[in-house]
Amino acid sequence: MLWLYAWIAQGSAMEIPHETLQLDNGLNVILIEDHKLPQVVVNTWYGVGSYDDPEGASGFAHLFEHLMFMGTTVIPNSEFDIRMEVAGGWNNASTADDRTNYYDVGGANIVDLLLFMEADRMVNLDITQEKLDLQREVVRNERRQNYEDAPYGSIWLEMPEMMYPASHPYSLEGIGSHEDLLAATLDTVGNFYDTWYQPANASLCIAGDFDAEQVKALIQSYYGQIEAKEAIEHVQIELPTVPQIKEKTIYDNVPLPAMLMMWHSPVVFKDGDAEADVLSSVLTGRADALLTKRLVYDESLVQSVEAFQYSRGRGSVFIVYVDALADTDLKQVEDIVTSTLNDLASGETVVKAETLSAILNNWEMDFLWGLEDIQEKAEAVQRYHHYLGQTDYVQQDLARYQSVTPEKIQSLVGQYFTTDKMSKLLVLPEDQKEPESTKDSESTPSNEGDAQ
Amino acid sequence: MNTFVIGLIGLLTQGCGEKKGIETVKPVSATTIPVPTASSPFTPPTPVVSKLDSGASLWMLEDHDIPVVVFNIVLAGGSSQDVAAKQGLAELTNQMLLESAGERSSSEISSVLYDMAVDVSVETTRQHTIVQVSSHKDRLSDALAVVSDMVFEPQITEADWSRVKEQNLASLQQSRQDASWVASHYAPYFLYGADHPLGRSVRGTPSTIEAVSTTDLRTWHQQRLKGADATMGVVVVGDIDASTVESLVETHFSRFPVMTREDIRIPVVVDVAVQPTAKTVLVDMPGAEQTSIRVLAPSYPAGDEREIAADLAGVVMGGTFTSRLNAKLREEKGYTYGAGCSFTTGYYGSHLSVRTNVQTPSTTEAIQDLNDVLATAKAGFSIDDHNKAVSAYRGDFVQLASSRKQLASEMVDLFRLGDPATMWSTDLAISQIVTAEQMQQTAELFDATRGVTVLVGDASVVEPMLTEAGVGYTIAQIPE
Repeated sequence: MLWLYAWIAQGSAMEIPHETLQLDNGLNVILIEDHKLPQVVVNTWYGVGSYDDPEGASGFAHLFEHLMFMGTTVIPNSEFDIRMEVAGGWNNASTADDRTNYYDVGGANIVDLLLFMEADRMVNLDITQEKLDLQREVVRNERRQNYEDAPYGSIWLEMPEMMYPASHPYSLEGIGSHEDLLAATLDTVGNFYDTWYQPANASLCIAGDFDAEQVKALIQSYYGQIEAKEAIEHVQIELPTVPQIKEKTIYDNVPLPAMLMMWHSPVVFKDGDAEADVLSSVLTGRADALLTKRLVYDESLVQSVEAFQYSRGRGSVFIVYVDALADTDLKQVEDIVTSTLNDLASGETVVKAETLSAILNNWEMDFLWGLEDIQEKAEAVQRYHHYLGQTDYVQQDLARYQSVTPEKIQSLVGQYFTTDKMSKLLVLPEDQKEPESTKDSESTPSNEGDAQ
Repeated sequence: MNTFVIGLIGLLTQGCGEKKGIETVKPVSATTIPVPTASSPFTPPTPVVSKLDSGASLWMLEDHDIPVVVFNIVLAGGSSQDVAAKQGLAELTNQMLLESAGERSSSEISSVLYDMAVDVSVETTRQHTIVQVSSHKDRLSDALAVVSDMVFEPQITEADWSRVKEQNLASLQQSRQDASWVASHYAPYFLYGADHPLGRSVRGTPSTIEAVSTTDLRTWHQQRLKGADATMGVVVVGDIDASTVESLVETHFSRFPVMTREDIRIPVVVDVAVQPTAKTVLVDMPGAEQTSIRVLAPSYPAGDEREIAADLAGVVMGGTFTSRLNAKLREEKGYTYGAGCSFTTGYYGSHLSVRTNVQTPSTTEAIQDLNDVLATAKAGFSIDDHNKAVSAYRGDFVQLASSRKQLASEMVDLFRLGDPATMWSTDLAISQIVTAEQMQQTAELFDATRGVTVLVGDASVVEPMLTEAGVGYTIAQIPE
């Protein structure tokens, strides 16, 4: 049977009308017809990300994403990009902790070519030592540009190991270390490809100006012949609840201090995830938000403060990021942040109904803007499929936010965002380093006399 | 550039009415690689131009798919009017438009806009100030009531300015520690010089920001945004019609001067016979792992008939992933995460910008390779090159049409720079008949020796390499 099931979602203001299908080999297919512009998007999500980096090979999933553009036995070397661009298309990809996505954008006339080339590289990738060597240098330059030379970029290299035990794959930043990137081998490339890049671990979304029946036929032609493989097992871990390193100070090439305060938080789409999103707006993002009002407007203690929920599938992190001024007393700022959270947890501070209403207005507008173009629609539906196994979720997603109450926020803060569960990273200008200090300092929960 | 939406819907849906049956299975093999068919007809939209009762020009495009509106107010006042000792004054004044205004404090302004889920941003260009309001259509009138106060009745208090100034100084201090930002932001300074409008920083420098007072801010606002010299135009995209816009402008902005197409004051074109003081300058960024390289060289002035051919050549040279620059520096040599180029065209001057960040040990090889790649423009462009450029040019119009905010921004540029409302269609039509030979004739532009090469990196490492390679350079400082 070609399609295991087919389902048509009915469109409305807050929905993305689409059709879902599945091939015999397990490939999930999502079709979003939208004829507003003569444009199509072919968006492929693979259920593999930096979480699945092989042991001792940090950054490998991302490096592998680069290799996916290096040619196949059918379309060799850089012809993937050349053929696409000559036909008026363009593409990109990204690797996150839980998934890798590839998206191609072009005129409605090249959907056939796009599907062919995506199916081809799912099964015919052709990687040589020379290609691997080249792309590892490109990735190392990406690391230099975005993490090492970018002011405060080192924060994102430190955060993972502060929050997660070494046994948790999130403990290493997805860009990878230079050492691990240099150690990557062709054998690892082959094993990774064989393991993760297969139909049952992929979801293909086509959005835009196409004819559904024609596209179904093309998908069957190109993907239907790819053999199914055995189901894949990701490494299983327990969700961490406390950070690994309670406090750390690094000295970097920055002109002003910064501070990151972090807590483990509910995983994406689970209970508490939407509440954490809303909490971020209670704390920062507008002038009368609790932290912004006090730290930026009333007392001018910092340049800016931003709270956000970094949602992921195997452990989210809630972050308060402080951009300090030269004379900022970071301990004072820390005390204000923790006391603000403590007051929310104790009920001393209660989030007002009108505040929640305003925050909800903004989330609704974000959803509305997200319906604007086919690339965003494809990404949204892929995200729902990846994390929830369902695609008709826009309205339910919005409902998560509509159901947030002051009591739920109080409960969330009390359960997760307590001082004893906090990790703190200070980034200070190099010239503030004490002469006798020869390395960065850190402390763990145990040697800090953690309350637990 | 931009595209549209309206009027296309009928055309596009017509194309998908014809359905084909299930095709026979085609295996993925070298003999079955699909050959794309001709692209669908596409005509970029043309803004609808009218004059409101107040006399103000209105440029708009209706799009009723989702209930949102992007409402732009274009004001005649920009950073080219900054005096040298107070660079950044226009931008800083515009930032103060987001602070206390009318009867509301800064935090009340921020809160009332947030409560309505309305985004307001202010952009400072060399010639104009653009206030963009993005809102649900049902809340637009309430939003504009607040925005009217923000634009025309800012309080500009000492307390607000003290905070905004400190934030700007801190933010600028951070940016100036970023080699890539420094290279991009100050490359025009090294090409055009400190006295040229394009050579000055819109953001100002630490010393010029320090020199600005609330009196300066109020004076600038009064003269350029509110007083007799101020004019206003309106550019709107979204779920709204012209009569509603008319009513909103009458309600919220009728007491203020208006901008008509005839009022747009095209500034005096500065002589663009650019004479950079040095061909290669090196700005020290101790400890940088990469050297940020920017090449700026003069290009054709706005309106030149060769402009589109140059744009198409630019696509091949550095406008896409497979461009010659990226293919050489990233995909062949592995020096960088990316390399590219583009043209900037304006009334004060036009130039080619080439940009890349390369690993420090490869700095001199990368400069040589970059120059060698630029020189290939003289050898011309293949059929594939030409097809890629023409397709990408068209694709940009389609892509831009997918975002109301981008579309509105591009319409603002048409409006404020005095371009015709039909320019998108005209440019797209011209691009489709430009030949590879005409692209080749613009090869003279791809020559770093006509402009300046700016290097921002660790001088202690880069200087010896430049010396050894025989590359002449001048150590330079960015403006304080």
